[in-house]
Amino acid sequence: MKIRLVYTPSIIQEPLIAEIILETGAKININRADIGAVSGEMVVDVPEDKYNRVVRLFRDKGLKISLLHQPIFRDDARCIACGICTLICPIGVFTIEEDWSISLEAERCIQCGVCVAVCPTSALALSEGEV
Amino acid sequence: MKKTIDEINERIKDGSVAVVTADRMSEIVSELGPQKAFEEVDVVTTGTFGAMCSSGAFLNFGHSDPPMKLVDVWLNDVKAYGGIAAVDLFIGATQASRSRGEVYGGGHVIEDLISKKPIDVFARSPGTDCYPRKELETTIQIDDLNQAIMLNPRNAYQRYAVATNSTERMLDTYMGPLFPNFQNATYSGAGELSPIPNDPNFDTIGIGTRIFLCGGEGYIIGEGTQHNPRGHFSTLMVTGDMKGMNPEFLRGASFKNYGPTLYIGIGVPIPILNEKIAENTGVRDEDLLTDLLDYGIQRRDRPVLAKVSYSDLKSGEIEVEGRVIKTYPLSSYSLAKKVADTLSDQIKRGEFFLSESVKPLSTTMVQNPMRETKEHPLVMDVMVQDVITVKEDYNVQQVAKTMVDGQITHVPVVSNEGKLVGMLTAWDIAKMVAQGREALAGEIMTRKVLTADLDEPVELAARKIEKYNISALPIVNSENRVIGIITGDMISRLIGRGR
Repeated sequence: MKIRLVYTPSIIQEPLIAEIILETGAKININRADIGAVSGEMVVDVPEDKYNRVVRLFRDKGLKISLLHQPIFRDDARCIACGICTLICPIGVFTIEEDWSISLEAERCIQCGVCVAVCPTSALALSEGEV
Repeated sequence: MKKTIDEINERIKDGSVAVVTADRMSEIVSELGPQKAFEEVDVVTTGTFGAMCSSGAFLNFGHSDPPMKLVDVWLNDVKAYGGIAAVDLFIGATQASRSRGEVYGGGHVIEDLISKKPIDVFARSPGTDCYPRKELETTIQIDDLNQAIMLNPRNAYQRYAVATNSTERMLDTYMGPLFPNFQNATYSGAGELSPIPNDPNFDTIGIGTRIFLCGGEGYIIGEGTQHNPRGHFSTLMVTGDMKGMNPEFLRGASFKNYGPTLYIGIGVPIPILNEKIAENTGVRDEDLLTDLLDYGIQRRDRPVLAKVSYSDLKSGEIEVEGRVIKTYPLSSYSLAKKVADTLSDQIKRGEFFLSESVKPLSTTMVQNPMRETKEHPLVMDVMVQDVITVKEDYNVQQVAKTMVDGQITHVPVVSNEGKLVGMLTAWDIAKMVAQGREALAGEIMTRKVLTADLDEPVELAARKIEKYNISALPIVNSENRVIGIITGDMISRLIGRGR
């Protein structure tokens, strides 16, 4: 299950993820991590069976957590199914189907945002997630 | 044997007309042959849905009171052309918003009008005795306009060149993002479903041909601009009443770091009047070849890397000189199909009748490049020819001395054979000195060096310097030996001299 973590930059001094992985044995996959002057953001994939424990530990460390059920949304009224998103997505979330429609495996999205910037009809948007 | 458009229209009226889409017709012609296909089919519908930058609309606002000549006008902050009478305007698809930049433009204004959304109008004028008003602010929607007429100077290209990128840098183009080193290629056009490939000699398509334009009724009014029938790059100039259009069949769009445009859906019906026309509508994707161009070369005449067919392109990859390049569409095949299907349904339901063209489009028109009367300097005109270089095994001290002696701040690093291997700047040397470190030129030089060509316009070299935030470009010959250097300072001096 994908979650988005928002943290203060000072936290990167600690081997936080490593600690949680060692404590829970959860195979946490870091999809994306950014750090800025005032806050940082990370998207991680957590196995479902360890999800509750991992989330609790992140919360205890003071991270803000939102659950990304669907990391990306497509406005099908604006989408023209051109296929540029299939070109740019590093994960391969979008696929051109036999009938030339574009399928979307939203749950695999890591919220890098490149498709949002490239989509010519502004049909794509990243989800804020559920807190 | 022949049919006439009148006979076909009679069949549309009595519901007996036989209509198929162009992709289906290709199958019919290859299965039954052109003669039988001609007997079985009355109309073939075509369709395409792609970004068509050369599009726009004439709008008539009616007069304000007191009256005003709309000279400088913005619609949703997008500049419209007001140099035609008092209250006529032209809004072009690629004009960008002055406040929002490239993400919103004329194409979006046209879509918003057709979607019946409100549009903010702001206008200024110097004021005259007959048109005294100087400023105006209002909000309108399409029904408030007397006329909203789409008029697109160049639409529905017969085929379009495929774009790829040989350079080591990512390019943002109107053909979408092009990854470095031929990692992808992008193409546009619906291939065998597109209008012109189904009637390449204009046996039926001409001035006055009634078409499906963005969900409404439109007409071909002539050859599109840059119409190049001999090169198989023919185009259409089209018009249509925006009040009858459907937002499903057009879309305001924007390409990153290029700007706004408009996706347009166009369908042209081809009446199957004789066997020859039937045969032409049997065209298949594998018959339609187009050029693969290197957009890494920023010149008018880009080298053609290969000829590829639309069936290759639609397969998702092409092979060029042993290299497999992934291909991606920019136009929408699914909406192109929807255009052809919708037009087909309209004809079957007796809602769309065919028109006789009054003049076929030209099959001989030729297009020339721009005549330029003012010479623009080339790199070879301004570059320094006696280039001072250093060797890879020079130490910091030696490089510094070379720079000071030569009064230069950039120095190419060359191998023992005299070939370019890197670049060093005064900054690289200053850093070493500041850190008190000892190093050889070959260890601290920048290895990925951008170069300029002898016959490259200085303007392009300047763009490279600006875009990649560098300060000098060496010029190399075919053996990679440094034959010149051009720096940002030289370009600044050139501009400073007024040329």
